[in-house]
Amino acid sequence: MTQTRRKLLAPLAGMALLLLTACDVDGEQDDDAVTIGLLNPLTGPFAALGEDVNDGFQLYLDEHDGRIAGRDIEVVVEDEANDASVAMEAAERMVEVEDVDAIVGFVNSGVAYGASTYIAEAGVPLIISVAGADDLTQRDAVGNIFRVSYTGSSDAMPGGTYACEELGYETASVVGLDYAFGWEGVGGFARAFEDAGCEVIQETYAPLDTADWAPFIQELDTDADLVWVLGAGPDAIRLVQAYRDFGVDVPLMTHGSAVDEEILEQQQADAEGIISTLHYSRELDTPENEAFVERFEGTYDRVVSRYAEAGWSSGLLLEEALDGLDAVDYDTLTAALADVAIDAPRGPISFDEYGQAVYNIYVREVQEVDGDYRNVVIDTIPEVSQFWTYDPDEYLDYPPYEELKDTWAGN
Amino acid sequence: MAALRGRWPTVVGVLAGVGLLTALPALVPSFYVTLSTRIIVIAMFALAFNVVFGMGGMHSLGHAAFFGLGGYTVGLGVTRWDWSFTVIVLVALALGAFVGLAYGILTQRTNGIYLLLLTLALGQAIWGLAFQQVEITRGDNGISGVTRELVPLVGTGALSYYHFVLLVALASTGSLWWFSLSPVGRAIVGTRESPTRMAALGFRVGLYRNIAFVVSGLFSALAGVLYTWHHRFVSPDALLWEMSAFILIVAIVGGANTFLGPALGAAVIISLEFWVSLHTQRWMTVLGLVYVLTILFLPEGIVGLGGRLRRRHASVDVPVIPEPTASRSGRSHE
Amino acid sequence: MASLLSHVLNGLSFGSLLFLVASGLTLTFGLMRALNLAHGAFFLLGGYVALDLLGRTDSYWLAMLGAVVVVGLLGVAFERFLVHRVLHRELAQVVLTIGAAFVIADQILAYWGGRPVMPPRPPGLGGSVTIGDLTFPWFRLSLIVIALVVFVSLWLLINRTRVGAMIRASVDDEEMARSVGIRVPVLFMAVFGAGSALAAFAGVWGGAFTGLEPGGEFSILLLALVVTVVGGLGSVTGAFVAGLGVGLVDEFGKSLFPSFALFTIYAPVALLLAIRPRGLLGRVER
Repeated sequence: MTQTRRKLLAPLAGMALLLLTACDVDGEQDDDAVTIGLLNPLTGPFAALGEDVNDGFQLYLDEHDGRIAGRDIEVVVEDEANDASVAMEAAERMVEVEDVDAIVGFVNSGVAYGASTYIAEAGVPLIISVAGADDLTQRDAVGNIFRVSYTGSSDAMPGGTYACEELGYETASVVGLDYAFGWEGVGGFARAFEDAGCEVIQETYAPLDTADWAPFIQELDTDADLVWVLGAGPDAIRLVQAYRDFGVDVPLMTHGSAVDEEILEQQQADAEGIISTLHYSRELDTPENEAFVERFEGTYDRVVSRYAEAGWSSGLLLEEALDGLDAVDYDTLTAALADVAIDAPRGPISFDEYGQAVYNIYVREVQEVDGDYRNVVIDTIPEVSQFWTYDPDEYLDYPPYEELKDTWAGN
Repeated sequence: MAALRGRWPTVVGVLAGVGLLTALPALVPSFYVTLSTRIIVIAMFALAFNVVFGMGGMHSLGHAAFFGLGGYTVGLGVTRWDWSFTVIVLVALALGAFVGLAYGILTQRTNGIYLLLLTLALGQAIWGLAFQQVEITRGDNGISGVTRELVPLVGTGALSYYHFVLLVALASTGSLWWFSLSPVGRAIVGTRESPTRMAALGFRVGLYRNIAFVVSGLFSALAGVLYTWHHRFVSPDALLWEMSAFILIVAIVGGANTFLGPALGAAVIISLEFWVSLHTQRWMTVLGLVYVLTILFLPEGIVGLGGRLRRRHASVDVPVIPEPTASRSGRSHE
Repeated sequence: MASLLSHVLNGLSFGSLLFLVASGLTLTFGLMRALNLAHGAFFLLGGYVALDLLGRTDSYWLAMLGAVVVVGLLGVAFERFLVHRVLHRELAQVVLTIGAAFVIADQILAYWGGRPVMPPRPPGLGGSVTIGDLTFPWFRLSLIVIALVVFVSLWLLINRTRVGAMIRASVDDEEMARSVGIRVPVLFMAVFGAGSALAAFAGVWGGAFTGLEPGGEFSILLLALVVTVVGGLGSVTGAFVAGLGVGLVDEFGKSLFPSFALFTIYAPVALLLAIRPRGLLGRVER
């Protein structure tokens, strides 16, 4: 081969590869079937959450032999990969190539935001499985975007009121992870806590993936009646461990995420006594939850989580929406979803006018049960909206919590 | 031009390639236009990166900063500050050039892995800014709803944006190619090959390092601009060190020794990622294996697939940047 | 508010962890100029394998031994079949070892799942000691001791033993070393194996500090790189000093200036490298 032809071979090969990727298989389906796209992370730091959502959803389908509301359900699974570019392309591919009727997805809020423009334009119904950014169902709400999980502040605000009014703590030091969820969660707690008449005296944020929590733990103001923490994932494990290591004597209360079932499994005795608020607990005493927990833990041999519950409930929501629908298209499905009311493992779920789920909030306490540590439900606050007890219009006029960061202590 | 005499097959090849890219939307389903747009933007970024890396021989792990700064200029300019298209682009380019200069000045005496770490630290500082200056950037939620109204497109929609990006990419590539052949460009390659010799010849090595960073920063920021308008979204993720590492790997795997190698690397790796993930959840394993195999069997990078490129000393049609020579005991120069 | 002593102890114990994590990388890079960016993946693998073995054998020490041996052997194979081909080619090492890191980390995800885990502390090192106002965990104190032991052992190995001398000779001039009968390939495999074993050890002992999760392969690597480079490549003493130094800077940085917490690990890097491009105790290249 001549010199020049050799040089051209590689770029041409590259282009051929590119064209090859375009040889995609069109989603083939029969007319009656409904195609659901699952767009959750399968790789990256949130892979376990994505896997839980997908498994929960798939399990719900399997319970019904792949047919719900009289239709066959086909599932298309793609990797959100914790990457906005990849996720946007996956969403577009689901809509244009696979012809999905709805998408259940997104764990990372930034990624959800990134994809929201396309999803809004395409009009395909989206049920957000985990991503918590407040404004996705508030200031930036779009008709075809729903959310089955919490907003950053929705499960924290009841905690603030409860801590002040029911538990009698008068002052609190709040700690959060330094990103949007942290700002919204801390903001929600602090606002409700102070509006109930109590006082936040210290506000601390630590970067995501802080390897050593000691410096933050040791600077906590031990004069506070309460330390309230927003943590998640491995940070929650390290934080609580450091809290106990250094013998901090102040009662610890957290956002439910910090003691999620799979995190609690690692924290064990360190977490004992922690009171938290969340829309779910494995220990919920409802028949729906018992069935769900038994099926999930029996099939997958790992402890159930609220992410799995989100996946399962998404199946339930879609079933309810599809029930009685003659023609399934974006508009009819969106309208149907807006009207659903179901009894999920977590209790009743319906959507408010912004697409956010309305559900019960449970106050839980970590207790030892038969040698294991569990989120035992000690109180229930029914039918909580994302605005807590505030008027929605007033609430939306209020600045978003991310702008109120660092303003809570000492005012 | 003298450089083109006798290179007709190459010219035809290049024109054919450009033609193919232009006609692409007509050949593939519309979804692939979106993917191709991203590939072209990242390929642009890779070429810009290679001015510092392949040409300048400086190992930078902080290039996402330029890319992301360009991206945020668009995000903020459109949604917050109501700037015009020209202002946005000029500010982005200026920012890229200016921060590039800063990098160049701060890294004057550093090389090799120390330079990797130093640029990493610099890149992280800028990422941290975007992440934590929430009032301006909205932190990790990012800035969404960045419309393309300001972009001078012919028509609307993904298709016209693709052609716009292609146009800018071609112009950018042409400029960088011309730059690599220019005396300044050759001097930069010289400072990589042998800084001491260059200094002895009277070249101010430090100056050429800075120039490389300025040019690289400017064109990287331009790629960032296109990226944000493509996604209509920007977040601190564009500034992650993983993005810097990705562009470094892409350049090496594509072939940092040639001009187009990094662009090819970008195209192949992104396509591969996409295609493999359609078939298996374990696409990271496959990608890792591809990296390993490429290094083991294609030492020149993917570009070397057609055979080894012979080194040339005189003017070339595809500029070749020689590897640093190994010393007698087997260790490379620093 | 914590006392000065508390902060210093914290900083030293975190710094000890940093050194522990970096020690394997320092060994391979310092001695062989082999940049192993899969180091964090070996750390992770060590931790996960130990956890797995713990589940099977119920013995912490057996599990640790098993993990260290398995990963050490993997390191030997890694050097023999992969790294050896790219010695002296720094950029090739970067891509090769990153590729390997992707594979290892993804396989860990596939096999053990992505839920974060917190490995147990060595038996007997749970709990905290209280002296007056100060409560300090035994485990963190143990990190300081372990780091000292590892440091002294490595230093002696490299500078005071025949093996160390042979390694140094092989790196300085491979041809000469071979001609005097040093079996260089075997030596390099051993060094790499030792570096990987150290990474695994850090993953087991240090894993009880950091936890194990997807992404750990790079977050840990970053910490190790910072310490290795700031200390100056090729210097175990440098890495030790740098580790403790970064630990202290990070501690005081986070407690005094929490809003800059993101940078307290990188700030020393940038500052130092801008002033001293060779790191603290890095050797001058010929």
